[in-house]
Amino acid sequence: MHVPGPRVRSAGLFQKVLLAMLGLFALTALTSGFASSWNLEKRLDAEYRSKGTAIASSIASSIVETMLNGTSATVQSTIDQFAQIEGVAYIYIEDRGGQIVSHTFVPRVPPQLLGMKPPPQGQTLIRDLGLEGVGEVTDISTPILEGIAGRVHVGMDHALIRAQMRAAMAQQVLVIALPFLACAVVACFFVRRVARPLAMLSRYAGRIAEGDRTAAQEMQVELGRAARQSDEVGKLAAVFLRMAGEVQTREEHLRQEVTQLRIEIDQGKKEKQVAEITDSEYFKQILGKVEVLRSRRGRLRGDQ
Amino acid sequence: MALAAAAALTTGAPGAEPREIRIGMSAAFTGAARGLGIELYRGTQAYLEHVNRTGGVAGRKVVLRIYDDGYNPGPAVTNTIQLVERDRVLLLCNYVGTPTVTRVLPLLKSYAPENVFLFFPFTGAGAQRQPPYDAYVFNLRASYEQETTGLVRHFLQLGRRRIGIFYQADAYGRSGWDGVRTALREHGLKIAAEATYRRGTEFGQSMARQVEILRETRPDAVVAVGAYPACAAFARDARGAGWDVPIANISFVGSESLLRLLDQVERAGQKGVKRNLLNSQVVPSYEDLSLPAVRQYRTLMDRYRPRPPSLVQTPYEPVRYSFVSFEGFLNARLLMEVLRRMKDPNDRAQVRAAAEALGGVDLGIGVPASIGPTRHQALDHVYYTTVRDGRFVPVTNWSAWRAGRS
Repeated sequence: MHVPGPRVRSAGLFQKVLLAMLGLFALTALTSGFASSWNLEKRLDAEYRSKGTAIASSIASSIVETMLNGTSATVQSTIDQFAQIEGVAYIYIEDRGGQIVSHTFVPRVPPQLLGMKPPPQGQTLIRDLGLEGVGEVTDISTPILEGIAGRVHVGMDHALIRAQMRAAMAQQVLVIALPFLACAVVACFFVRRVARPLAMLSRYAGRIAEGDRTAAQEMQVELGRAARQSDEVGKLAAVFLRMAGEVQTREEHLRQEVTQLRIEIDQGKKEKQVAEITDSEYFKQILGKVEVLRSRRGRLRGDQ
Repeated sequence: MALAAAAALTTGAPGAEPREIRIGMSAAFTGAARGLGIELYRGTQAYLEHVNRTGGVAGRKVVLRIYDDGYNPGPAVTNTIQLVERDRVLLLCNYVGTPTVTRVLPLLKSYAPENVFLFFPFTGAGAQRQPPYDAYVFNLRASYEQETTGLVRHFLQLGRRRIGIFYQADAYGRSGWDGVRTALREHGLKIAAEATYRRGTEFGQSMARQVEILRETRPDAVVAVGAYPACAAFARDARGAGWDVPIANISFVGSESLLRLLDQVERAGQKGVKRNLLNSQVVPSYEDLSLPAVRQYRTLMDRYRPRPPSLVQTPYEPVRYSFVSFEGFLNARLLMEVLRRMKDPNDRAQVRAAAEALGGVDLGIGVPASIGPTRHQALDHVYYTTVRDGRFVPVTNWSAWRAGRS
C-alpha cells in the first residue's frame, strides 16, 4: 500500500530550503556585482579623467610649435595619433577665438560643441557631456600656451567605461555563481540523502498505521540501510524501527489476549445458555416426559 | 611585403661596384585606395622599363623596391626604415598619401645625416613644403592649397559663394579643408558646411548622412577632399537624393578610378551620377597629344603594359591611361634626370646637390619643371577637368558652371 502524501510534503520542504538558498546566493551575487561595478566605475572614471587630462596636457605642450610653425595637416596628424588611444572618443583643437581648426569627428562636429562658452583662460576644465553621434563623454579641455594659441579638447568615452563595468559585473556574478552551483549540487546530494530515508520512514509509518503487517518484511532492506546511517537520520530510523517493532509485538500480544478472552467468553456463554435451557420449565417438562417414557419402556421389556 | 620590380636583379659581389640603382617606394597596394598606388607604380614602371632597356643610368639598371602600406601611417614608417636600413636604397620616391607622408617626415629628418630624401610623393599637403621638412622632400606636383584655391576662385567667379566641403577625417582632409578655408577667408567668406568620412571607407558604404549634413545649408558647390571610393559614394548618394550641386574633387581622388565606380552605378540603373563633376589635376590631360610627354607616356604604357605588382592580392583591372599613372611616369622622368646628374648614382651624398642643380627641366608638358636650392616643388600649374563622353577632359566652358545653371 502506497502513501504519497508525506513524501511530497518532505520534498517540498527541502525544495523551499533550496530555493531560499538560491535566492540568497543570487542576492549576494548581485549585491556584490553591483558593489564592485560601482567601485570599478568610480575607479575607471577617475582613471579616464586622469588619462584624458594627461593626453590633453601632452598634446597642448607638444603641439605649440606645430601650430605656430607647421601646417594644419601636421596638427591633424598629431591628434590622429592620440585619438587611437583606447577610450578616446574624439580630440579637437579650437583657436583662440573658439573656432575648431582640427578634429577627429565623423560625419561632423556635434552641434552642441559649436558655440559652446569657452572656459576661463589658462584653466583645465572637465565636463560631462552628451553629444550627438558620439554619446556620453567626459570632455577635458586644456589651454595651449595658456590659451593664447587656443585649447585642446579630449573626449573620453563613457561607453567604454560602461562596457568595462558590465564585463566586471558579469565576471563577478560568474565568480560567485560557479561556487554556488557547486554548493547547490552538494546540497542537493545531502538533501536527497536526508529526504529519501525520511520519506521511506513516513511511508513505512503509513503502512503500519493501516495495519499492514508485511511492511516491515517488504521494506527490510531499505529500512536496514537507513538505520545503518551514522547521522541523526540513521538514529531516527533505528529508533523508529525499534518503536515500530515494539508496537507490532505489543499489538500481537494484545491480539492473542483478545483471542483468548473471546474463547473464554464463548465457553461461559454456551454454559449459560445450556443452564438456561436446562433450568427452563419446558426442559423440565420434557425431562419428565422422557423419564416417563423410559420407565414405560422398562416395563415393557420386563413384561416380555 | 616587398617586391623588387626589376626583371632580373644583378647585385654585385662584395666590394664590387653595384650594378643596379635601388630606389624605394611605399604606397597603398591593398585597401580602399590601392588604385592610386598601383597606377602610380605602373606609370613609373613604364618609364623605368624604357630606361633599363636603353642602357639604364650610367650603365646600371634602376630597380624600384616597393612595399605596401595600405595607406596607413604606421606601416609607411616601418617600410621606410626597411628601405633605408635594410635595403639601402639610394632614395625614396612615389609615397602615396598625406597621412602616410606626414608621419614619415620626422623620420626623414632623423635620417638627415644619411642623406635620405623623398622624391615626388603623391600628395599636395603643405607639411613637406614648409620648414622644417621641406629640406628632405622634393615635390613634382602643385600643392592641395594651390588646387583648392584654384577651385574656390573659379566657383567665386561663377557666383557660387557658399562652398561646402566633404573631406577625409585625417591629415589629407585637413590639408584640403585648410586650403578651402584660407581661400574663402581671402574673400571674407567662411566654409558653408562640412562633413567628414573615415579613411579606408569603401565604395559600398553609404554617404547619405554626409549628403544630408551638407545639403541642410544649401551650398552652391561642394569641394571633396578624399579618395575615389568615398568620393564616388558621395557623388552617387548626392545624385541619388536628387541633389545636383557641382562636386569638385582634387587630384588625389584618382579620376579614372572614380569614374570606373560611377560607371558601375550607371550600369546598375542610376543615371546622372557623373553630372556636374569638376576635378582639379596637377598634370596635364593624357588626352592632349600635342604634348611630347603625353605621346611618350601613351607609347610606353602601350608597349610595356606594366602589370600591377604581385603585392596586389585581389584582382585588379589596370587602367590603360590615367592622370595618376601619367604623374608616376613624369615622376620617373624627372627622377632619372636627377640620377643622370650624379657622378656616382649610388652615392646618397650626391642626391641633394644633383636635384637642386636641375633648374628648369623640359618634361614635355608645356611648362618647365623647376627645382633649385630654395624650390623643392617642380610644378605649380593646376588643370581643371570634367566628365564628357565618359572621360575626364579639360574644362573649356566655365560659364556652364555659373550659379543658377544647376
